[in-house]
This record gives sequence, C-alpha cells and structure tokens, in this order.
Amino acid sequence: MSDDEQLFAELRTMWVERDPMPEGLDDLVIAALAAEDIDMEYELLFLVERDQQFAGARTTTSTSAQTALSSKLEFSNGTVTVLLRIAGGQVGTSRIDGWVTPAQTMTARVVVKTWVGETFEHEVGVQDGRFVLAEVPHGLVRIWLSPQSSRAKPLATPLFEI
Amino acid sequence: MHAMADQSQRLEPSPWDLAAAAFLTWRGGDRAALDELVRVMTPILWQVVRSYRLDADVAADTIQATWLAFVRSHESIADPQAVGKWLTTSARRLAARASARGSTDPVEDEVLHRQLPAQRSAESTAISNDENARLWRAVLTLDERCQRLLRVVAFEQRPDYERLADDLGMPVGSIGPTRGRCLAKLRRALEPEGVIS
Repeated sequence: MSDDEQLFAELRTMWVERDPMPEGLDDLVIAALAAEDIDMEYELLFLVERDQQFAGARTTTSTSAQTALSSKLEFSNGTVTVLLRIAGGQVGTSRIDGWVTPAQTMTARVVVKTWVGETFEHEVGVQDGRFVLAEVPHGLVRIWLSPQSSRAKPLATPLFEI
Repeated sequence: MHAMADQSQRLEPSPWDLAAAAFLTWRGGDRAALDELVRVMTPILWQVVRSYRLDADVAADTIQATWLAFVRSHESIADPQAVGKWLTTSARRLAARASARGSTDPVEDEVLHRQLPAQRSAESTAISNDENARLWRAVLTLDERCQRLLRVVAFEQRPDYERLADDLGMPVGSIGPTRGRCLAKLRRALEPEGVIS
C-alpha cells in the first residue's frame, strides 16, 4: 500500500467514526424502494428544510405518543414549494397541514406504511393551495400531489417518518 | 507481514465487489439482493454527500433521491462492476445541486458537538480515537475545497476526474495536482503533533 493509500485509509476510518451514517437510513431507503412503483411517472420533490421541535413537556410515562412532536418540512422542485406542518393528533396519529405555493387546485394523497405493516391511504382536495390531513397514522409517509386539470406529472415527496 | 496484509485484503471483498455481486443477483430476479446493495452502498453515499456540507436531513434526502433514481435507470448500467461508481457519482451530482441551493450547514461544528463518548468500549478504539482526533484537527485546517476533494477521493472508487472537476468547479487538469497539494498540506498539519508524540 502506498503512503497516499495508507493516508486515505486512515481518513476513511476517521470520517466514518466522526460522521457516521445515521442509524436507520439504510432501512428508510429499503422501505422507499420496496414501495416504489417504477411504472408510475412523477416528479420527486427535494427536501429544503426540516425543523423539528418537541412541543409538549415530557411526561413520566414512557409512551412516546404523549410527547407531542411538531415538525415542519419544506419540499420543492424549484418551482412549486410544499410546506407541511405535522403536529400530534389523537394518540397514534398526526395532523398534517399543507401549503402549496404557487396556490393551485390539486388533490393531495397521503400513503402511510404504518409501524404495524398496514397501508393507510387518504385523499383530500387542495384548495387555494391549502390542505389538511387530519388523522394520519404514524409510520413512513409519502404525499402525492396531482394537478387536477393539466397533464403535468404528479409531484411526490420522498418517504419520511412521522 | 506485508504478505499477510495482502492476503487479508484479498479475503475481504471490497464494497465495490460486494455491490457488483448484489447488483447482479438483483438483476437476476432476487429482490432481496437490492436490500444488500443498499446496505453496502448507503454508508459510502453518506460520506460522499456529507462532503458537500449538507445538513443531516438534506443529506439523507439526497441519498433517498439517488436510490429512487437508481431503480429507474439501472438498465443504463452495462457493467455490474460500475454500479458503485454510478451511485457515488449520482449522489455527488445531487449533493452538488442541493449545496448550490444553499441547504448547507457548517458540518464540522455539528460533528464536533457529537463528540460525546460513543458506545464503543474497547481500549483499542480509545487509541484509534486519539489518532482520529489528530487527523480530524489536521483536516479542519484545510480549506473547504481540499476537505471535499479528499473525502470524495477517499470514498469513491477511482473517481472520474472529469466529472469531479465539473462538480467542484475546477479545471479537469487541476484535480490531480490539487489532490497532491491537499495531501501535502494535510501531512504538514499532522507533523508538529507527530513529532511531539
């Protein structure tokens, strides 16, 4: 092994230790690929920002459902921006408020692969760029936005966890 | 000693070989091999993408997008041995785009704050942690371009200098010399402490 190769090997070890891949990222990718329908044409939105806050105070019980988690996710394709605010709802579900800019008439469909392995789907209308998904069960979520009139491709968020 | 090192290298397949094998098996119709490919390559993609100083969420998103693009365009990969390179190159492309959009963070601060003792307990890792800390500090003395170039070169398999030059905004012919200069700077930064210890 040359000196340079040796140094690169040490750098690899260092970076892997200093900045390891977050645990579970490979599982998320596997879930995303398992759910992917490659015959379906769509445009993938990219994540611009994710902001996560623990809203409620931690309770003494260990159930995570009692710790209200609110987060804000912003996605875009460079033209259309989708803002999602996710707040704790009924136990085991979340409420998702969505804003699409520029405002347009679309349908928003949420698809959730729940932690118990079930698939949940629900569709609502997007009016004036706004939609509400009131009771979304926890799991791995994807939101599809389909323009109603045009022949434009649907937009889809990447898979994310709630 | 040297022969042993060579032998162990031969016995332990490289991630590129593992990726190529998993890719072939998957193409042969075994769906589970795709999971194996993801497990081999995602940690490497993480390193490549993070060299662009993307924050952790955006880096993870970039990696998911890379894989979604992969399952749609894997037919364009003629040589299974090239699958690792296809993935790192695509991830780098998407990371460069995310970085241009400004979704970046001063990663080193974030990483430094994570330096609480990890769950690893073996004494040998304590020693390697010291060495890593020394190397880490030396890397931080380098400019951003050097840090990125070294990290990408460290984790990619024979990086394509032409594309790398394009992504890093550097002339093609300058990648080799720049790599050399960055390594020389790194070695100089390692020297003073090395002499003391």
